[in-house]
Amino acid sequence: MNILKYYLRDAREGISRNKGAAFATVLLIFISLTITGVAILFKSSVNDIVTYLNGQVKIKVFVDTTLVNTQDVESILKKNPYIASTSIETKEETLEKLKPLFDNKDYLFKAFQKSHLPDAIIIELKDKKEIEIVAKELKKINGISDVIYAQKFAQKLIQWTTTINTYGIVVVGVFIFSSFLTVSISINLALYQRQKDIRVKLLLGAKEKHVRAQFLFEGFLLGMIGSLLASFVLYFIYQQVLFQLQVKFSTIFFFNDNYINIVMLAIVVGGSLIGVLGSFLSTRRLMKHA
Amino acid sequence: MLTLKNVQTTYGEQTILNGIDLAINEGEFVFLTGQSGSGKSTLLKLLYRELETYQGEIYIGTDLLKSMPKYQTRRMIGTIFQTYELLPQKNALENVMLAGEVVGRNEKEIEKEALELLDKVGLKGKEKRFPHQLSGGEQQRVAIARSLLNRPKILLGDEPTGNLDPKNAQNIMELLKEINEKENITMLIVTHSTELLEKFPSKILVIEEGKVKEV
Repeated sequence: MNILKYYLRDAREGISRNKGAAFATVLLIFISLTITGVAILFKSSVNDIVTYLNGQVKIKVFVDTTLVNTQDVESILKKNPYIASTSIETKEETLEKLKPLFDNKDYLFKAFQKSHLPDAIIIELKDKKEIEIVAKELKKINGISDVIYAQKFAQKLIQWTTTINTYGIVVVGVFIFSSFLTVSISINLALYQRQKDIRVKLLLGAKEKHVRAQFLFEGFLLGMIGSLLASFVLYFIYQQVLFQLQVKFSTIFFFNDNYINIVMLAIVVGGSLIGVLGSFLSTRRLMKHA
Repeated sequence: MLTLKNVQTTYGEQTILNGIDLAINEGEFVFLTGQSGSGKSTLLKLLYRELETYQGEIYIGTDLLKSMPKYQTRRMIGTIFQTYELLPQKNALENVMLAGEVVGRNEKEIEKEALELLDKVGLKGKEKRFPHQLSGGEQQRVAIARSLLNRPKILLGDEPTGNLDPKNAQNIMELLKEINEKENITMLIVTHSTELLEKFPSKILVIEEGKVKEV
């Protein structure tokens, strides 16, 4: 108990004697873990969107009315065993849906009405697993100009996020390695500055492990401060962005306080570990020469 | 209290100590002298285990030095140096208390004892002064108080008066003698000063050509 009290006091004194290096360490850990945390939250959001998109069973096909009659296409579709139901969305209905976008600017809306808008048929499938097969078949039907379905976007989203993840992991890795290195340099600097303190303490009968533990504790404190700051920023992002998204799109996003708490805890544990491990490596030599 | 049996040590190819046999009894005050480079400090370093490469056996009481953990040896042996080895960022009281802190003793208890020791070494009223605010003699007194806090069985002095003027050197030696007599702590003090050897009649050991002789 007494030893712990002395650790805490010595760590505080040590950090204040080495303010510049301590600040740089905390800053780098903060930046690294904030980026890591944002990446985790981003991935989770994308996963929610992909899950939502993959859960959709509807396909929208556009019909080129200059080539075929929309009702004829619909009757062909109804014979398809995978299709549960169909409904036609005419140009007029589509325009009606788009009307709010023109914000009462009637002159713009009238001009838009003259443009070519194809008829669309909304198809609901019996089983969402068949969506790829059905979509391919639909493209072959004469008069269907385009086939749109949610999974198509999900695939693109997965492609993008895979690319972002790959680069993201490299960036996060570089930052975490830099944090680790900064902790190590900072502790090395502290060891150099406090050579006399270490020698005197050992001469007075301190255990080597206790002298080392003080530096490990210092590394732990630096890591924890940096990661606590990062977790506060992540909580702010959660409250201001993700929580708001969830309120607006409650069927897509499924964040909860428990999730953000786990992310924050992981960030704090991770940051503290970076601090302890960086310090552990730096103080290995101290143990050898103690 | 302190027994050395056929202790030998080398530095590179040079033999520093060449088969030393020595016995110092409990409560004895012993001076160790010899020419520069004769191995006085090396012998002390073997005792407080800054050097560990030697042949032969060293005992504290009945305990073989090599068989006990280094920290345990250093808790049994107090050491004072020519350069005092005080921490500049700590005041006199904190420097003394440090000896108790590193072994995990209770803060209030060590503060009380440290104040008593500072009083005993003649530094009452100067407890809050930092090393740079104290004279050389006063700094050595702080170092002596610090070395006594954990009640060592043996006190080693590596030229503790080497940086002091004759008057201060004599005062420090008087203090060490007084502690030796009152506390019955075994003391082995390295010195070059023939003046001190004459003023404080004690057992004198001389190191010559790697061997110890009593004079």
